[in-house]
Amino acid sequence: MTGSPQPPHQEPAPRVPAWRMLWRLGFLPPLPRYAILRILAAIPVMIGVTFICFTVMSAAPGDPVRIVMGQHYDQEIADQLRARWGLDRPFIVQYGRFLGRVAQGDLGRSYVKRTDVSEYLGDKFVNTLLLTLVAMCIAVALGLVAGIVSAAWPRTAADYILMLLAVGGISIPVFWLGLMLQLYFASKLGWLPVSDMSYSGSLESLWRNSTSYVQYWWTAYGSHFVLPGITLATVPMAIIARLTRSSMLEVLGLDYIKTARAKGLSYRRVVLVHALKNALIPIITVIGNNFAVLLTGAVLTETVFAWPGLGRAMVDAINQYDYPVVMGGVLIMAGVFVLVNLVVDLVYGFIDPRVRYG
Amino acid sequence: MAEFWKAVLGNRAALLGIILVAAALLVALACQWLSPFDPNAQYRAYTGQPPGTLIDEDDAIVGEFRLGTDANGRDVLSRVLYGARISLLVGVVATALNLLIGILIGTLAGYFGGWLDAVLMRVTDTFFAFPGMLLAIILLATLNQPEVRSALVSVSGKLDPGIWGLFIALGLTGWTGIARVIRGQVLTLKEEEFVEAARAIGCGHTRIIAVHLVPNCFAPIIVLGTMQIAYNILSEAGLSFLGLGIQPPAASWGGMLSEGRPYLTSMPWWGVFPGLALALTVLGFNLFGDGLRDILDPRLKVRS
Amino acid sequence: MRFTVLLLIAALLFCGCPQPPGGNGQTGDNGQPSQARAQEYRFPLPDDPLSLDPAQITDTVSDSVSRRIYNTLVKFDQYGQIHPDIAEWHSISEDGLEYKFKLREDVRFHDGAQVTADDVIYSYTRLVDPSVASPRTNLMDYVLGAGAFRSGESTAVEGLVKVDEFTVKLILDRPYSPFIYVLCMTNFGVVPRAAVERDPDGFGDHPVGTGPFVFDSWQKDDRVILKANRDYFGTPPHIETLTFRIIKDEKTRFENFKSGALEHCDIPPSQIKEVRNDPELNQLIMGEPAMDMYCYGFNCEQPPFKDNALLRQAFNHAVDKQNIIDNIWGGLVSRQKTFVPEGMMYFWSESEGYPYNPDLAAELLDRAGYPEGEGLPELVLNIDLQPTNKLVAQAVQEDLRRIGVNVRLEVTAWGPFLQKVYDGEALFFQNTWLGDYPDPDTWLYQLLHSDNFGEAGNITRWANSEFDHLVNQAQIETDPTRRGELYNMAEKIAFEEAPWLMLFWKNSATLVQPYVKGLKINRMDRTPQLNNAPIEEVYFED
Repeated sequence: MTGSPQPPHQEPAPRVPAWRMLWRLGFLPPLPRYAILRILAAIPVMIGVTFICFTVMSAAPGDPVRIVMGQHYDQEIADQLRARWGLDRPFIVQYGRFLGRVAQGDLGRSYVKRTDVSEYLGDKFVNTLLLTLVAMCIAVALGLVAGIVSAAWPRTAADYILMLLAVGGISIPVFWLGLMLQLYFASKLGWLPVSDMSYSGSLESLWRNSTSYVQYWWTAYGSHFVLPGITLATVPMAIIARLTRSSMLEVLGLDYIKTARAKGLSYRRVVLVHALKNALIPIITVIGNNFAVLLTGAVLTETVFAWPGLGRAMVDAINQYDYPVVMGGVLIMAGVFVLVNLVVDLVYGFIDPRVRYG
Repeated sequence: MAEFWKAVLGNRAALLGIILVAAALLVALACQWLSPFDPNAQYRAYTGQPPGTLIDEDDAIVGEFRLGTDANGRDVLSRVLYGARISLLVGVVATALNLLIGILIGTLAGYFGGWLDAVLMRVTDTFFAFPGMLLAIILLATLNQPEVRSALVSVSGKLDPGIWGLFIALGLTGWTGIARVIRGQVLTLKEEEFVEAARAIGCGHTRIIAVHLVPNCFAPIIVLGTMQIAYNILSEAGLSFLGLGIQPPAASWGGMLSEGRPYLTSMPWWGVFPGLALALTVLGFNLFGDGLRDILDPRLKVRS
Repeated sequence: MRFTVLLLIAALLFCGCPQPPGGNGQTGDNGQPSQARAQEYRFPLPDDPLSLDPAQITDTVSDSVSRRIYNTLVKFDQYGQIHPDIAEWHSISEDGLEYKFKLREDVRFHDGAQVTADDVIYSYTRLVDPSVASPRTNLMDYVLGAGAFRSGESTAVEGLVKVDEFTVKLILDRPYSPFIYVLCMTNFGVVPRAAVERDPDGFGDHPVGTGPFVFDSWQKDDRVILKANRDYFGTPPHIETLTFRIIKDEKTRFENFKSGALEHCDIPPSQIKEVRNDPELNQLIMGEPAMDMYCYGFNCEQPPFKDNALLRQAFNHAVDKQNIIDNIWGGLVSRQKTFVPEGMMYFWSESEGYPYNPDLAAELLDRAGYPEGEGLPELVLNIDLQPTNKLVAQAVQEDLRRIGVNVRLEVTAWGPFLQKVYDGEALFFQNTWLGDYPDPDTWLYQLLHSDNFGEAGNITRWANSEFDHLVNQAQIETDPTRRGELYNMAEKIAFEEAPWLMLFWKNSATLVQPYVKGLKINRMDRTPQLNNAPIEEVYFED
């Protein structure tokens, strides 16, 4: 869900770092120092995230013990369960215990599913990751092309149409688009599967009845990625297109481009080779940012296409007051978000010489 | 001022944007007079009728369901029109809250700097690290408790009490971008001469911030605000679609999409029209915001 | 350059992959690969099971899967007749207190161990064992000594007697005619002591039973896979694999059925028109009016519904049920007129139910003390997230509004929703009740007796001493005619008092693929769970 304009996450080194750290790190070259300081800065953020989440969930009157016991609730047994899960302790103690367990790598057990949170969410996370990668590839490929075309021939019909489509892309409600695509291409035309991540039936029998590996792979896995992938890709595609266009326009207006053209280089070479390289720099950050947001916020697409991913699992867990899953999920999501942003900033720092030596 | 309007009218996209926004606002304010039926009235004899169905009483055409009816026999057009009211209300109020918090934090961080800046930016990062709507969803799970809703019914009038939850949840989670941008602006502005001059003549901090700094951020505030309204309207629809926002039978675009979803193959008008309305409204705000940005502050263009 | 290399590598990988047998394997008469139908039954479930441990089963989904893994001493068929299962014969004493079961000697657990009387006694004792904390522990209340064991006073349940290696005797502390039916419930499935004690907490995730299907794997929120038990003591299943596909959205289940990915599915009300109009799909409907109650309950412990039968009757008359049946449910439900359903013994066929009569409703409202709805506190109707429930609720809300009663809707997720209802906090709520066994007791006793407030079954918390007395007597009555009279009298009282806003009996209408044969849908089934349908008798025939 990215309609909101966010400037790239440029975190300057903390103004007043702990003197010890600085002293030790003072000997490191600028880039690794930047990386380590960023990672350290991320820890309070993670703690803050889990703290907010914990506070809000605790304020909710839902009682997980009652919900899990459902029918035939028994006071004695409920008390036992409560003690076992530590729900009878004060709030701060519970939070402290949670942090302690996390430090040891244990995210707890789901109340409802009775599996380890890390195992349960790990699978879901991988599913979301796959979908996000596909969506991102589509978004980057089409977005870049659209932006380049727009910038190379500005104020032409192509430019106006593409940019209007781009604005449409960030305006259209993602779930509505998903529903419409599902309605036409899956329900009415039957070209693509309606939902799910893989073939619903037995893979063995599908294998037996297929005529080629490609056909098997497509029916079993590939075709399921198309509609959700396109749906999820729409918003980042539009954002990338717009950004590419403005970035390219800025670069194309610079002197060295004019020089290259004056030298007689073809327009295509100028655009693709000379301008694009430099225009890409700010785009990388946005690609990274969008990737992280997609990864962690694809709730609506997952709901429409019944994709067994992290977003949906989180919404279910929140509705059922499955605290460990919610806390674990938030931790994973925030962690991934911070990590991806960090990587992006490092890459940005690496390729933009101004930052590297600044 | 006149130049401003000339510039706006010259930009065709922005013009389209203004028209859509004005239409949406008009519908939101005047839906009582514009809608042909009561959005909650159930016409049992006409459930699930396609658009253009005529109401036939004693062989006389009494009315028409321009966009068809849903499975409960309610007129889709009326519900779409009333849905505009909810969407715009949530959009505007949540954005106002976003701006309030964002400007406050941004100016304080930028102006005072030092440890306050570091702390506030850490807090901003923390809220920013919550993916997409997740914090809003968690907040809504708490705020949508029946006890809370009961308590709010008296204050809500004819609106669904869930709207307060949306105000709070969206208001408290969307301010991070605004805070960052404002902070950047303030950082630049505070080095300006007029600020020095103000300090020289003895203006207190509050006065400098309120009178000199914030009004000079007018351009980004307006642009960000407009885009934020678009974002909040989409978020409200998404949350209602997930069942966390406006509850039935109140008419909301997201809610209609959620209710109409199982009937998409048999009664597509139920789901298609609210989505269309939503897309057009958000498009309007986005185009308008784009246009404003082109005119007021091209510097903001790069990062969106 | 690098790009082309990558492309080549990708192509090689693809070509190097094993070819599926369909491509160059067996060919049929006309050179086409033979399409042997896989012997796999893909069974949809609307939710993830909570547990596969018999002691922990309370919902129809967990029950559906477990039903295929375990056996009980006896079972009932689609006509409500008792048949032997693990017990090859049984006898009930004259006074109705002693039940004797002789077990078959050829029953084995899935891990190979033989089933003996010890296992039966162990399984039943578990239900009252406080360390197991079974939510269905009250089912054992009829057995002598259950309470003593639960409170720790004795080390074994007195009423569970091992006569010899293959004979078990159950002694009740008072006669209870439906008990033989109660024993058919999956909660009384026989489990192997060794396997349970090896992993008590994890048994629900890795069950071992005696049934026609063996547990293979369970991917949460995705599927549960069971394999056929070739050593089953009954007729082994015709199919090899039973895969439960967990698909939460009803429309998705339907789409999957249409594309051939499921062997059966329920008909979502939103698709009923499409199904009826489609000549092919129309042929595939199986099922009949089921004993699955869908109605709204009044909290009879709190005002304004407390002690105000007239008010409750007014609500009953105010709702236009036919409208909901036609427009929302597409004819998939039938109007409820009694508590004990049609087809069940002692059914009260003369009942007219509460016909739609808004004028009478307004009059009753007036007599109840709230003329035109004045003076009524705010009423909140609690429902869960299902889309059809929301539509029904809005129709009911409108009907009530027309007589002057304003009701506000509260939508909550199922778990928290149940909690509110069981706690007695919900004032006016929607619920469903599927009978547990084919005896009127499950409707009259479990649902309406004052013993069972809250999660035991009587969620409306309605109490009427005369009703209680009649039902108590009927339970110990051994003469069927007299029993019927008692139940009918009790039901009339309950009907007059109207603790529920009676709406519908759901239909177990199920779409079944044309090649699926031998699927017997029981009237006690909810679809798509089809708890009582013996899947081991299903076979495929093109």
